[in-house]
Amino acid sequence: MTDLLTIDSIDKSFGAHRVLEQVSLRVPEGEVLALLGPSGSGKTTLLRLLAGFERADGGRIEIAGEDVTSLAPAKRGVGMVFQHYALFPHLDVGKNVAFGLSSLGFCGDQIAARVAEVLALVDLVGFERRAVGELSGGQQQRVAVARALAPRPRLLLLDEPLSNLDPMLRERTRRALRTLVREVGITTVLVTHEQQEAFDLGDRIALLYEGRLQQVGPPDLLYEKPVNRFVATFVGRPNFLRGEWVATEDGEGVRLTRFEGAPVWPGERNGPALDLVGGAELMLRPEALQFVSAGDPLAVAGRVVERAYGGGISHFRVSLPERDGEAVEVEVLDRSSVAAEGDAVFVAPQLQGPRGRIWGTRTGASE
Amino acid sequence: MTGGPRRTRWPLAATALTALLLWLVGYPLLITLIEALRSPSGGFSLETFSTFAQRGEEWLALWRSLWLSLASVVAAAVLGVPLAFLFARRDFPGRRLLTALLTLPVSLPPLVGVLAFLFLYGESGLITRLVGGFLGMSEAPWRLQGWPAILLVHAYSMYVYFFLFARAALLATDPSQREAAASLGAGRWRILREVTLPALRPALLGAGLLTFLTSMASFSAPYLFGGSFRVMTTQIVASKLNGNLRLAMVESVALAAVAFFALVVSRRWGGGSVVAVSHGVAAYTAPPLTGFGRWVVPAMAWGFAFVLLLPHAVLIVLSLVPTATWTVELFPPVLDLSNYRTFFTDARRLAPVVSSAWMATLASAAALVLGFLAANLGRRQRGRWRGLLEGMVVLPWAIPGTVFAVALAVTFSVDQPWAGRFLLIGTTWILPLAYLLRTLPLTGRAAIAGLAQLDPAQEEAAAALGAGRWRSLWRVTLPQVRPALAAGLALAFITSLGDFVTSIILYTYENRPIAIEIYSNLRLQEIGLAAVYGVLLMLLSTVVLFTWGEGRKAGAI
Ligand SMILES: Nc1ncnc2c1ncn2[C@@H]1O[C@H](COP(=O)(O)OP(=O)(O)O)[C@@H](O)[C@H]1O
Ligand SMILES: [Mg+2]
Repeated sequence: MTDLLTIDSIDKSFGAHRVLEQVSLRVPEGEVLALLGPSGSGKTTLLRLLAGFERADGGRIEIAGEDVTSLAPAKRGVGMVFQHYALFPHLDVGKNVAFGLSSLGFCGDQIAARVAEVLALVDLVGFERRAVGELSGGQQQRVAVARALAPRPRLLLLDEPLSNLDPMLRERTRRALRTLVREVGITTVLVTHEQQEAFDLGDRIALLYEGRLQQVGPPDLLYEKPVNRFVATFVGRPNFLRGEWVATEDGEGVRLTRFEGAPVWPGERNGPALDLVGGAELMLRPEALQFVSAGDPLAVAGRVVERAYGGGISHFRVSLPERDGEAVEVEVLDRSSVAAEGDAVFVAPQLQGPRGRIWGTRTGASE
Repeated sequence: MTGGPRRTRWPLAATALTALLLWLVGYPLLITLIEALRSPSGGFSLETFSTFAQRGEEWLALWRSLWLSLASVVAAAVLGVPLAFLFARRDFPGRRLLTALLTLPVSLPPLVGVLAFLFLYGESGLITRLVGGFLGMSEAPWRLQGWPAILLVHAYSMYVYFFLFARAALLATDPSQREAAASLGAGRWRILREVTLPALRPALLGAGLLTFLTSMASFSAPYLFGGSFRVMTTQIVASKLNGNLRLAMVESVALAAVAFFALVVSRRWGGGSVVAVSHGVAAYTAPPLTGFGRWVVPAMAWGFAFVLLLPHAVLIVLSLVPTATWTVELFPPVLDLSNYRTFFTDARRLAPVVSSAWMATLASAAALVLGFLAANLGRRQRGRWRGLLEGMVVLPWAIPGTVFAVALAVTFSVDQPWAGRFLLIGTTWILPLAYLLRTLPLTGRAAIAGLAQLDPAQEEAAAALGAGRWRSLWRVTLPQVRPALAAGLALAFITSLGDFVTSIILYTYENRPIAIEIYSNLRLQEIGLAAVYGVLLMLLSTVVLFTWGEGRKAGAI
């Protein structure tokens, strides 16, 4: 598949504040890319650069092979849905949706037909004459999407499209949005600060933190093979265990305590050349840990300090006396209560499923 | 939004207040209309109306009032709207200070503004002399007279309405709307026409109406500069001073009708006013000016501010020129404090200041109480009661001061307590009453705007916590509407303090106010003393407006 959008080494500062640093990204035709990151990480800024509302300090943006880095927004053929929708309050729904069509030289009947077509797409048949002020939040959001789609843009940009909806509505709208974007087949960049939204809507996820792209890939890659501490924390819940890196006969692992006979929990590095000077850190998801019997070769003794029943799956906090009381989170299927608060237990990693990740304590903290 | 505030179960207070307001505001106007319809012998007659209709000069005055007001709207908009765009959309050094300076003309009472223009651009004005001297002319290069002079003063003082209203509206619109339009392929002009201007429409209509009504009611500028160019307000005063009260009544009815008609028409136009769709507004930092504009624009803005401040400066200068020392020189040869010495050492000179001060204090305090009570009781009542209460408070806003002065002169010239008419003409009390009527809409509108922003749930919460009516009013409601009320009070006070238009019809020598004193000093060629009073009014007004009036953008003007 060809790349519809190519972002190459983009830099952007506001005054002395560097908001984006060397951001490079490719989005193939038809893909939905979720741009995920905490508030203030530069997501909106990147989206505004793509739409042409801001100019990059350096780097290059191409849409369908055309260099648009310094092209005016009106000429980019990009549809944008704003966080606050930015509907025109003095125009009715139909005129809002038609706004982008008259600049394309459509005539009256064609405009009406296209407006009806996109309104049908967002499930707002017959809403043409309604005032936007009368609509509910969810309906306004759909009008904003319809308005952006009407002129058949090459690229659709969505800035936190669900953040202004209440939680009940958000779930439903999310599903509708996913169906819609897939149905239209339009290449989409979607900004969100919620992992769940990104996982649900994005074919791939680009994780942005402090203006730098941390990792780009499908949701399971970010969850199972995060490249650093930040990704592991932002996507899912991690356990971090510091220790000494050792090579084992079937790979590598981290020895959890200083004494020789202590268990070595297996893990994997993303790149073999990672700098481990200053100690290694093993990242394990809560569900990658399990309770074992005392005889298990990888067992580490612990005590349950907290148990939260989650209907089928239970969540435990276990403190490890051998590691100075450091606590780990364990998540296991819990039909007949596995352990209760205060119980002495033994914890070990699951051996099937993805391995834990290893990185240096220095490099692991986001570079 | 939750439902409106609790309705009072006890409409007695509302009834009493409505009756009082009807008597104060509506009754004098009604009496004026009835008296105008009576023949001198007593019966019903259209005689005076037909006299009015047959006199060409009446129609001419009405027509001049109308077109001059429309021209003032255009001039004020042409000046104020581009400035609003510049100040809302661009950043440059000194923007905040300049914004404050640009609103200074509002703080000059009308007569003082006219005085300052006279000192600057009048026949022997400072600028007139400078330009004449520069061009080597022996006579003044222009004459500050007729409609151009009036229009100049109107544009100077009323562009502020357009500037403030349009700027506030621009700052309140979501900048993403323009970006959305741009990404949908719209160019600059299409965005301006189809996105920005529609969003500005309510603000422009509001400023336009305010400018129109203020111009229709304007008296000082036409009175001092008009000469033979009579507009309706000066025509009314002339009729009244000539002793033809009956004609003045008919003229008042005509002027009030036109002003009221303008109000209704603009309400109709503004009817489809846009309800903002609010999910919050994206933050917008105005981009700095770049290139050439970076220097030229601030320089022009500062230049403009300089011109705006010239009237203030010239008042101060002229107040320092001793009587009859400045004759043919370009600049005044002597500057000293002799005028101030005269002013402070002569009790007769201070008397007008004392009169104005107590009358303005009394009138604006009463206007505040009445305006707040009406707004507060009104919002607890059903449609018709509420409309009546709020209508009586706001009505004087549309009715020119001259009309009210005539109405009061008519209504309170007889002693008929059974008819609600008392003999107040010729007493000290008629002026405070007139000021109260003129300023009631200022405090009332501020109170209505302030209360509208209050969340009714707060008062319910206070009630649920056991607070009684008064405690809730005192502890919950008042503290929150205080900024709006202070702004309304500030405007009411300075309007009363500098009032000329009603005073000239109703004053008695014993309690002649400052503006009347300025006018008589001017006629006696006591320029320096007139300037001293002008400086005093200017200082008081500026200080009051900028210390209490912080929230004046909340809709008080
Ligand atoms: N126009 C601007 N001027 C100055 N700083 C800005 C501007 N826009 C964004 N920023 C700053 O850039 C950073 C990233 O902002 P943004 O892209 O909005 O983040 P996000 O959308 O991820 O929350 C923030 O620190 C923000 O304050
Ligand atoms: Mg954002």
